[in-house]
Amino acid sequence: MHQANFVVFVCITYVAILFAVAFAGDRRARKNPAGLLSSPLVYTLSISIYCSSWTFFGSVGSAAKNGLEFLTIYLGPTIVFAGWWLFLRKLVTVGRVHHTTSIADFISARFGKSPVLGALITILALVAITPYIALQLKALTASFQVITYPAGAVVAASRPLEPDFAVAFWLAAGLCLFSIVFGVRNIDVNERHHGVIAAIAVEALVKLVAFMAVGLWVFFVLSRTPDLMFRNAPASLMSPEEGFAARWVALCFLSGAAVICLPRQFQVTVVENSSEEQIRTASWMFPLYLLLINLFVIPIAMAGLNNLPPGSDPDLFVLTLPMTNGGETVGLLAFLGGFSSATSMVIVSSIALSTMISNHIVMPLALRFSLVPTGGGQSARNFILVARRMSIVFTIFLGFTYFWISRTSGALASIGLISFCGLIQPLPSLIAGLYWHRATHRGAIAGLAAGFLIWAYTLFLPSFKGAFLMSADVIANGPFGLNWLNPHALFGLDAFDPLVHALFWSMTVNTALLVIVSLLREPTPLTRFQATLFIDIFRRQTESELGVIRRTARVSELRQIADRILGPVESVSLFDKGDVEPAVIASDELITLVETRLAANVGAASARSLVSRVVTSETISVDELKRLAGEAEQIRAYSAELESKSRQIEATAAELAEANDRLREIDVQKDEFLSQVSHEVRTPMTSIRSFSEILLKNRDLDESRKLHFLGIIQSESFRLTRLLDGILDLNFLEPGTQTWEVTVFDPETAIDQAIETCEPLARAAGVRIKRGRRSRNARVLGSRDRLTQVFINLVSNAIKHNTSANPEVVVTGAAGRKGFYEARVTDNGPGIPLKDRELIFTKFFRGQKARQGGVGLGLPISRQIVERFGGDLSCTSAKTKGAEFVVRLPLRFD
Amino acid sequence: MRRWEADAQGTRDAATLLPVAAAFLFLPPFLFVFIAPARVAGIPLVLIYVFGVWAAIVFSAWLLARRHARMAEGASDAADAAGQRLPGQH
Repeated sequence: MHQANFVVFVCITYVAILFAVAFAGDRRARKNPAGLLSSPLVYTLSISIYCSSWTFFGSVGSAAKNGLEFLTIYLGPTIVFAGWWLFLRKLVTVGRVHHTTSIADFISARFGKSPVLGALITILALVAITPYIALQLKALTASFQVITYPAGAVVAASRPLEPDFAVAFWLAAGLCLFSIVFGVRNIDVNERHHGVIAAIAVEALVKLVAFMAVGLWVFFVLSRTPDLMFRNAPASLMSPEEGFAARWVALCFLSGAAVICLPRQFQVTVVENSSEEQIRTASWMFPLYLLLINLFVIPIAMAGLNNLPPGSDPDLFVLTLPMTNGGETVGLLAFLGGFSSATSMVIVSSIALSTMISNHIVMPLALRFSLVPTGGGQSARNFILVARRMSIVFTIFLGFTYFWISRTSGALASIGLISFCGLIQPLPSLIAGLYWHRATHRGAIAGLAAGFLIWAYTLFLPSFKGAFLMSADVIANGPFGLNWLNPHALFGLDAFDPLVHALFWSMTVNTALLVIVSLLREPTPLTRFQATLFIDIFRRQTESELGVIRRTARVSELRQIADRILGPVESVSLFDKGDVEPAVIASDELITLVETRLAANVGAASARSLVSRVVTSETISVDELKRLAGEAEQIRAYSAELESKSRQIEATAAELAEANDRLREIDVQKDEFLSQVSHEVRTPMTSIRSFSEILLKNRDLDESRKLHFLGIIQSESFRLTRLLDGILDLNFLEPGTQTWEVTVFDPETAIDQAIETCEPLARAAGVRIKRGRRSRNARVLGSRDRLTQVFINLVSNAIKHNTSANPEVVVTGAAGRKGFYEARVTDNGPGIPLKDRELIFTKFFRGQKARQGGVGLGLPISRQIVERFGGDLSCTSAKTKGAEFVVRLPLRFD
Repeated sequence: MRRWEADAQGTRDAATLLPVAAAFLFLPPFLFVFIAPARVAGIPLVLIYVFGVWAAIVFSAWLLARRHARMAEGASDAADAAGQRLPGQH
């Protein structure tokens, strides 16, 4: 045994350390809100208040009595956290975005800020949690008594100890003090308590380390081998018992729901959450924590069964095992672990409940009966703070009273489960609130109230075994002898044990009423609006949400409320934004902002009722609401549109790249062309200059030579002129530079004229020109001379580039399909490679083989002319071999 | 870009599947397969099974959380980039 004084000293030292941690945490968080205290690790450790003394002591007890069953309490949360993506993520995000202060606030805000709903959940939570807090006090007291029992821990644990209520009282008082100092020092916008969370995180580590230390100590000192350890293993560990499956599934469901709905879990998981990263990390780290803390439960339980005398309380094996076998230090550590788990649970539960009580019971009542002080300064804030502090004391001492009256005889685990079953009644409303637009506050109230009543009737009241409200006879046979109302077998359903039975009926009726009552009446506009805000939390936030609720209020009155509840500092930051002329009537935005801030302090329902007192008119636009609901749909369409846009952009980018390539190619061609032009110009210029110099210097040349030289000079000048004409023609044809005379004419005449002009050239080259089919009465609009120029160009090209042994050129004309005239110039020469067929129409293109005389402008000029007339010029391949050029022109019929 | 979307879809599917798989493995009737009077190295089979599956779930959740984290980074990067490209957008 340890001396009581020594244990008290250790406890006080430990608590002093916790105070220091909480104090440092608060200061640190104020300096750097995004620091260590907001880290996912601290967040996860704070969630592990799920493991209360019920885990620390009760798991081992349950394992010793019922084998595997204790595991369900941790498997449910493991599934819920591993599946965070499905539900927790949405819940946590909504809670964070809307500054939720508690589960009661969350549900009341979702269902149209209903004050009734908030109050109902608060009462439910208070009733259900009282035995749970009593349980923690009992565990604390019992562990203290056992560790200090003069006759040794084993004796203490094997006889029914009368609880020492003096110890319990001082523990309760200490817990109140801690919760008040760090939980309700001020009212905060986000209702986050960094100091408490820091202390809780330390306690979480202590309890994990302590439990694992006991486990390792037991394993290495007492059990040594698995065979020895499982010598006396209960049969339930190896073969399922009657009703095992139903209980197993029910408990997994119950614990999974509890890790969401318990007020303290909601507090640490949702209210204290500040980023998605936290919940993401907790999704694996919290299950890991649960796994580690459960690893040694069975070894400790087995060692207890093997080593301690029969009749020892298995709920205290964690303490008694080390204490009786020489591990007094380990025993003290175990005591501290149990102390940590119980205190952290009570502290967070009482803080969460105090927020709920003050926001959903005290404030609405105080507002209704005008009890909130209207004096200036901090009086209203102080009122709220006092309300919260009183609520903490009330909650904890309610638990103490329960403990005192009932002397909690039942094993820890069964009380915990009864409490769980009551506390998860908000679950259907929570899920419907996050996923079902039609859910109404009437449905939620009906479901919750029914679930609560059924829980109380079938589980809570019978748990007193006839000592409170319900007699033993009623529990056994139903009221007034009506056996179908038997609390443990409603409607004759007696196949399950009381817990599964109560869980089944309460959840079924709760959910059914929620759905049915919701379908009976349309949700109110405010409920519908809140539903949109909650359910569509992940869609793009828009300003249009502000346009839904239209209210008018005087700024001065609004400010009065803000001053009273929020305090002057925050109020100034809300109202004095450097506006030159303070408005008399507050804008919708301002009213909404003030209400949001108030809601973070006193809960959504109270905030609404506060603001409603100064709002002179309020309308909720149903059209706006409908539009909002439709917006989710719009966003889906918007993202589809974005996708198609991005595809278009990709296509455009590809086109641009192609165009860029073409430009580079043309640029290269242009450079080549310019050098060609310079060369072409330079050659005749050189000969003109040299011959004219000869003529000037040698005046005695004979006449015939002079004439020869002059002839050369003249022909070179012609060449120059031709070249310059070509270039001029190009500029001439640039769009918008000129118009030429346009007439309606027969294109065949242009062909005839062109062939006539080319005849001498053909004869000289030995090429035969064949006139093929011709059209009759075709009429096109354009310039005959220009078209003749086109045909001359095409025919002379066909003559010049024909290297065939028996060269010939065929020209045909026909009034073709679809109102177009088509002329074809076909040769039997080498043809044009496919890749060049478009390139030859670009300016300056000169093919691969150097061609004499040409300047690479004929074809582009021809194409421009034809296009001017609304037609086109293209190069196809002839049917046999050689090249074929097609001129298409629109026919005129008038 | 497309690759990233496929990854994101895969991660979401896996995140949905994990709790379903966990529930299936932890609940009867599948659990009954392992509640048998058999021992492995002196330890009842069911204990090894439950804690093994538990550890596997923790590990999978850890892998998923890492992918989610990368996805979240990717998404915020993409949003940043989009914001720079389209300054007029909200």
